Amino acid sequence: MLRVENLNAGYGKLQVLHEVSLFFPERKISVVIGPNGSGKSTLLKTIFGLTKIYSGRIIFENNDITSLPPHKIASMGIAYLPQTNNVFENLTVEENLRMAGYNLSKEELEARVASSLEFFPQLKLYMKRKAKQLSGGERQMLAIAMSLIRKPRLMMFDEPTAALAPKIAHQVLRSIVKLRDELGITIILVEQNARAALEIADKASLLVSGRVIFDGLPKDLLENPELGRMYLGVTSSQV
Amino acid sequence: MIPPIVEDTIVYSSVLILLSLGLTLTYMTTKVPNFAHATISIVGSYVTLTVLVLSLISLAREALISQADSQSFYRLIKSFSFAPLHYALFMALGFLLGSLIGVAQYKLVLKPLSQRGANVVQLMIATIAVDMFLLSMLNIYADKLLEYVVSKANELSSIAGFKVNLGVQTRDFILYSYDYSKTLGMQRLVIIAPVMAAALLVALSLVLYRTKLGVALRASIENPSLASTLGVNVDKMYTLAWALSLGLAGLAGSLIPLKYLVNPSTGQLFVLSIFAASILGGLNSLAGAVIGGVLIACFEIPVFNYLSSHLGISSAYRTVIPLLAMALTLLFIPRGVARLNWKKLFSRVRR
Repeated sequence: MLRVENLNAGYGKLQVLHEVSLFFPERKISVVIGPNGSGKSTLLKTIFGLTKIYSGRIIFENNDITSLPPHKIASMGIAYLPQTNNVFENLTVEENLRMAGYNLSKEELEARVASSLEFFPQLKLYMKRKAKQLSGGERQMLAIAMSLIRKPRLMMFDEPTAALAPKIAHQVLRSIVKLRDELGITIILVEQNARAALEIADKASLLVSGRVIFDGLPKDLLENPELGRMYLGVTSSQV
Repeated sequence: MIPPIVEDTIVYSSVLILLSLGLTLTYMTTKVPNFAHATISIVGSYVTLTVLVLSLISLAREALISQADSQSFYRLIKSFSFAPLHYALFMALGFLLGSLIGVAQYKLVLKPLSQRGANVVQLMIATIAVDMFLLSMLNIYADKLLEYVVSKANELSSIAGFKVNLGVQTRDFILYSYDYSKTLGMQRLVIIAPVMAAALLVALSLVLYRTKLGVALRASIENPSLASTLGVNVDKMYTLAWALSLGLAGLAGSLIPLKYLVNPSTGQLFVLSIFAASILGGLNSLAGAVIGGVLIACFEIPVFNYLSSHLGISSAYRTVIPLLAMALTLLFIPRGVARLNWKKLFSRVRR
């Protein structure tokens, strides 16, 4: 589905990712975890064309998308949900949903907004409300609903549960599982809450200081006593 | 009959609204105060002058073809006044030329500099450089236009057999007489300026709030990186914003010589008032720009007139008003009048 090869990237002269090579399989949830500043968010931003790539390649469904502008990458079926500012606060819920289908025809947009709202029916109650008036959980749902309108084949989430109450965070993660199971969307999930993320993951990668330390099954990562203790705050007995 | 001071306030506030709306929109997109904004509007003023020159030459030629004598020729030239088509032409051309300059300024100056990592101060200085460049271009154009008028007058003189003078100046010109309507007993501008300001305001609101393009523009202004992730070409949106903003400036500028004395550097007289209106409006609010435009016009004309007639303050101090408005706004209401919590303010006053 998506392959990253020997990627070196960063912001201006500050290199954050070093020789990162990863593969994200189709219709699976791949979780990227690591300590603060390890380059998890930068990896997603780089895939989406928002950082400077010094070398390496990004291949999506056999197309080289390295250094393409974000709007081109979005049009290829990739959605990226940033950790913050992932909705337009001064636009209403309805306007946000319409923005998500910016390049669609009117009829198609109506149909997709309707099907997206079926996934998050509670948003129907707030269509005329500005996004800044929604709660944190509702905003995340709006952000996911906006991405769904584009019918993405790959969705990248950057810490979608950050600053959410545990109950709401759980709901958001369940929604992500539903996206994989019901819509067959490939997911790349960057999460601080490593244990919760690994519970729903099919594949796990551990980034430390911009380098891949582990890439394999979540079970193997959790069972690795050294990595689990150093980077995840868990021990094998907790699995 | 409308009192002259009211006429003046209506026209001045309409022009300021159009100019401050544009300045606010460009500031909202690139976060750079565009110091060339007022000079770009004067390009519109020269469009109006050019339309007048071409119309007068064509009228003079027609008069001479029909073998008019010197007296009837000058009577005809002096009685010339703008027809609806002239207004439509110079406003449309002013808008178009302003838009083109706006797009060029964004694409050729600000965008490349931003991509090279220029900060706001550097970009602001770049807009001053654009202002100086345009000022030079306007000065050259004023000279060339005068040369053209003189050569055409000489050409017409040789056909007429008497000295033809079209009565056109390209510096320190005012086109008041061409706009005066004997039927209305006042300048048509007093109606045209507020109608245009209101119509453009409604049109801009409809575009921004009712069209897909407008929502995308608002989204791109609020969160450009998110807009681009949703497939919006943010660069295209910013180009559109600059085209619209400077188009409004060009259109407003095309109306300026109908009421005020214009020369290439007239923009520098307006720039303070435009910035004051935008800052008073909060710099990030289009509604604020409208309120700011009206307030500054009211302070600069009726309020200042009252002060000068009662306290004997010279009109040379009028520019203090926008400076004072800017300083007080930044000190006491930095987010502008549009973001004031009026409810809270009124309840405090009541207490």
